[in-house]
Amino acid sequence: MGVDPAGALSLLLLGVWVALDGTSLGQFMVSRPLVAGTLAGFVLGDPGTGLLVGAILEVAHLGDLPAGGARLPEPGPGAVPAVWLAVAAGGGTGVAAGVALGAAWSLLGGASLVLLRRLNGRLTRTVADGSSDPRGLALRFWGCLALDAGRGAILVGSGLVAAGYLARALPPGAAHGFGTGELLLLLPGALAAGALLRGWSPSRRRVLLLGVGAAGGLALGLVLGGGG
Amino acid sequence: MSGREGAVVTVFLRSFLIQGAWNYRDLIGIGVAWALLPFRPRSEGGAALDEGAQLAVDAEPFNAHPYLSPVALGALARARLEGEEPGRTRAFRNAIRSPLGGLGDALLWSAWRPFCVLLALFALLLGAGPGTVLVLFVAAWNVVHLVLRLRAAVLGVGMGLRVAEGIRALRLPLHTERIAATGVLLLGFVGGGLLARGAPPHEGFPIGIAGMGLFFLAGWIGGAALGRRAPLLLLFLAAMATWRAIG
Repeated sequence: MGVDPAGALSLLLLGVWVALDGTSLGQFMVSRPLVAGTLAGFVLGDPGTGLLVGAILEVAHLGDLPAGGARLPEPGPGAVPAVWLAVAAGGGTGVAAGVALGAAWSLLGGASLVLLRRLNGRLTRTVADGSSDPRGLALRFWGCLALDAGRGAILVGSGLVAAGYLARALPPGAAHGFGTGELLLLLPGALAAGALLRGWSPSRRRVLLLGVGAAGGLALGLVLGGGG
Repeated sequence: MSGREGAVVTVFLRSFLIQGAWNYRDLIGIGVAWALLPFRPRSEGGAALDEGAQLAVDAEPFNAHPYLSPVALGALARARLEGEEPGRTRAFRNAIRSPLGGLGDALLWSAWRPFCVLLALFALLLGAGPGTVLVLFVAAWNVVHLVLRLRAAVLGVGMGLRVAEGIRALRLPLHTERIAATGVLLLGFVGGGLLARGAPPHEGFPIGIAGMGLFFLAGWIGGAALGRRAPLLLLFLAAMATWRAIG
């Protein structure tokens, strides 16, 4: 599946928005892979695959705590080329390959954030040492934002190029629904969910709550028609 | 619009960009200095100010959760409007940064964000379409986000440097606790729902579910230190699955 220039530009702009939303601009959670992936899926005409890839990436990063400059992967921008690859390659193979690309690009994204923050420090040094004026501060501030936008463009652009090569290298995937392959990819999410529960201070009461929830979810799922 | 109302609006809007120049030296200090530009004093005791020095003070290292940063911004803006002495505002900055960081991180990153993800997954398991799941997640998150940010701005400008009392009144730790408790229930729902979705077994599904249970248990025992490895594990598993498919 190819992407027309308008589609490629849309994905690139989406990626820039996702990158900016992560830290610099607003933090409306567009930067989460669940959102970024689904939006990319809508652009490509396959929101279901976008949501699946985005959800797999999202649950693996459930425990990320971006507090005080912690150095973490950045899964949002990588979700955009990940979804493109998943849609282009198709089926379970496409989803696995897309998730692999998304996971790899999330590590690159995290590294690029560290570099960006160091550059921001250099760009704003004159403010910190008292030799700037208000106009200079504003220019340097907007310059930092422009750097982040550029970072997002490079990150997503390079991901789209990598996705293009990989899509041509992969065999056409067999179409199927949510199955064993996708369950394998949810193992990291299960690990993160267990850690999340631990962080939510499990006590006997909480274990009971978990059990009640599980029973409720199982019952509701069966009533609504499980499987698929 | 009165001076204070204008300050609330300015602080609220500028807080959306407060992390725009995040760096390891000042953290969000540059963002604070930028956000306070509309409130900078023009003179001190009739003499012209050294603007560079003033900006350097505003840009001193500072950190806060971005959604709670309007508390500090609002208080500092009001202090400027009322000509508060610099020593007091500096002491205020040093005192307020820890609570604004810790309370916000606990409420939003540790509790509300995972809760919203679980809510979205639960909707997905119930059969909601991608659009519905997307809107549900974004709406649930941003209702809390925007209300908190606006309330923080009103609180900061309204109470000025005495805002610590107002922060306590928000009862953020209580809300965090409640979200965590409800989140545990929702986590159970998602797990049960996932099990139900695979009820007509397809090949390997029981092993897959057992594997998920084991990994969940491992995460529960290992905690955050192990949970942080999840993205690397995902890369490994996905790459392995892709390689197998190609082979």
